[in-house]
Parts: sequence; structure tokens; C-alpha cells
Amino acid sequence: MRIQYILLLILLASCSNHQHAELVLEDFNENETHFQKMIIGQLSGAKSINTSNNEKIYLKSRWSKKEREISISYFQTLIEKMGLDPVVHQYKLPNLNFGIDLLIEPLSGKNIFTILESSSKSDEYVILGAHYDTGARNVPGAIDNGSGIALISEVLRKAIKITNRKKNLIVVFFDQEEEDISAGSTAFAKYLIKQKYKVHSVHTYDLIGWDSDNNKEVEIELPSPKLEELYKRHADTLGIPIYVTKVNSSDHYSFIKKGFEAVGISQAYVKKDNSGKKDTPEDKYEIVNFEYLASSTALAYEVIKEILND
Amino acid sequence: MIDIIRSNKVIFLPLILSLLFFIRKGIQYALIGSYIPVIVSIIFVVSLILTFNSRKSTFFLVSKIWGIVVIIWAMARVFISVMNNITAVFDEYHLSTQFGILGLLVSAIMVLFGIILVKNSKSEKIKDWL
Repeated sequence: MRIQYILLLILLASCSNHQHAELVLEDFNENETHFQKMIIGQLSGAKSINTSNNEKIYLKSRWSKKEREISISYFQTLIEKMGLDPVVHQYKLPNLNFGIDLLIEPLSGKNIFTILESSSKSDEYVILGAHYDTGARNVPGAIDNGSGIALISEVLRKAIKITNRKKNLIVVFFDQEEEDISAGSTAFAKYLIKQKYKVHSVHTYDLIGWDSDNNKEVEIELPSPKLEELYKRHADTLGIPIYVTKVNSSDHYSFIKKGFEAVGISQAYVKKDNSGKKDTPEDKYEIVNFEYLASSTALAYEVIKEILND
Repeated sequence: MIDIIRSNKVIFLPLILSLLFFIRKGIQYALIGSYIPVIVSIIFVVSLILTFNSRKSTFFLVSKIWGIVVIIWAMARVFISVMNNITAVFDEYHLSTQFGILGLLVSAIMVLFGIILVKNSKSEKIKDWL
């Protein structure tokens, strides 16, 4: 009997551990910069994330399983607050090669996405993504990749207001980009194929918050000719210099490998306009260039708007 | 077969537990499209089953080889775990957690299993062998 009581107590204790308080986000201000500051501030621990129990959570990073679970809850709340339905995509993937498979367990994680449906019936989807994990312990990841998260969240918020969308928009927050094979986006590319989504194009944003020379330049990584023309045309209109690179070390490449029309967008990474604080505890809210983030968001929005309206 | 296993727990317990560990791993990977772990497990399981009744000496040879494989596997993990706990060499959470304290404990148990298998895989140590 004693053993049974002990087991019951353990069961109850484990149940209580799984009862998470709901996260509470402040009402979104119409102001874009305010919204993006809220997201980057809360995801990088500069500002608290409040719960329904009046607790305040300060994320040190988005590295451990627990921190990533909190991030997922944050995105769920964010998406629901926009009036959309969040979908958690849980996955398991093999490692880089079978030798590693023999030695360790598979990669596992969670992406989270939402679908903004087209105004008129359409089976075409545009994918807009950014990874949310950070590269090491105690790394706030304000630029890498709080900036990408804030950018796509704002584009989603604006896209909701487009009245004549002719395509569906999927906005996805990827897990485990910092692992060796960009696991989250690799798993999501497989998921899109399995679910037979008809994908128009994939746009992923990573490191988009640093611009020391204030020239607003962005780099587009391995774009298809069609996407290159589209980005260059809108960048030209907005007065944003654009540079094409062959960078293949982020989420966009997971989709290119699977045959999707995809592009990665970042700050002037190859041209060395970087903070030098990537994957360090200094990748903080305070170093984010919000004016640059706003100009890059404007470019992303114009591109997505044209695709959705086309 | 059951009687032999029951009366020779010292060798069969680590043998069965270590095989189950790798079979679980193999199935887990097979379900996500990586087949080498399940192939390795099946080769040893089938070899042990086929030789159990017919060829005692081959059965002991296979279980000894399995013991050596388990030791090599576990020692590699112990080495990486110790390095990780000393230098925090892995930035990736996925790797860092698997080579943490719990990972080290699993590896240590598997080393023990491997040593038992290598030391006891001799016919004269088996009771009631038919």
C-alpha cells in the first residue's frame, strides 16, 4: 500500500508540473516599431513575458527544451491574439549521418505555424519563415533571430489587412536552425511535401537587425531568378541596396534542397556588416537597429503583398 | 530456452537488455527513414537466435562480439560525455543533453553490460545448457 501511495504522489506531482499558466501579451499597438520591440524584448529577456498567474518570465535564451517550450507558448498566444489558429508541428529527424544515429537519439523539436487563408478560394501557399532557437546557452538572440521573428510577425499582421488575397500565407517559426542540419525547416519542408501543399515560394528571414553603416542593405541568399527580380524591383522602389549571395547555411536551403522556389534574406552578412555578437550573451535587445528592421520589414511586406495579390 | 535464460541471468539479462535498447533505437530510427541502427540490431538478434539451439560455440562468439560492440559504443559515449562535462564542447542543445549526466549514466551501464557479456560468454559458465 505504501508503494501505491508513493506512486500516486509521484503521479500527482508530475501532473502539477505540467500545468502551465497561460501567457498574457499586452494589446498590440498599431505602431510597427512598438510591436517589434515588444517581440524582440520579450523573446530576448529584456522585457518580461507575463502569465495569467501574474508571474514574470525572463527568457535567458531559447536554447533549452524548457525555454523553447515557453517560446512555443509565446507564439501560440501571439497567433491567437491576431485571430488566427496556431498549429504545432512536432517532428523527429535522423542526424547528419548513420554513424551519429548509432551513437545518439534523433533530433526532435517543434515548429509552430499559422495559415492566413486567401480571400478567394486558392490552393497555392506562400511560406514566410524564421527560426526562433538560439545558438548557445544564455544567448538572448535578439538579432539571431528575434529580428527575423519580429519581421515575419509584422508582415503577418499587415497581411491580415489585405482584403483581396489570392493565395494562402503560411507563417512559420522554425525550431533548431542552429543544429547541424537546420532541423526545423528540414522537417517542415518534408511536411509540406507529405501534405501535398502547392507552394508558390518560400521566404526565410535570419539575422535582420544590424546595419552599422545605415545604408539599409539586405542580402538575398540563393534566390531563384523570379524571386531575385521581385526583391530587386521592390528594393529599388524603396531605396534599399540589395546584394545576391550564395549563402546556404540557413533555413532557406532546406527548401531549395527539396526543390522549392525559395530565398533567404539577411542583413549584409557576407559584406561583413555584422555585430560580431552572434551566438554570444551580447546579442541583446539594445543592439538591434529597429530602423533597419523597419525598412527590411517594408521590403518583405511589399514582396509578399505582390505575391498574395498576383 | 526459457529455463536456460532463467538459470543464467548473469549473461542473459545484460544480453537481452542491451539488445532491447538497440532494437528500440533501431525501430525509432526506421520510423523516420534511417535504417542502419535497425539493421545492426537485427543482424545480432537473428544470429543469436539461429545459433542458440544449434551451435553453442558460435552463440558464445556472437554474444562476445556483441559485448565488444556494446563496450566500444558505450566507451565512445563516455569519452564524449566526459569531454562535454569538462569543456561544454557542444553548443547544440540536442547534443549537449544527450552527453550530460544521464547520458553518461546510460553509457556506464552499457559498459558494464558489455564487460559481463565478454567475460561470461563461455560454455562452461552456462548452466542447464541442452
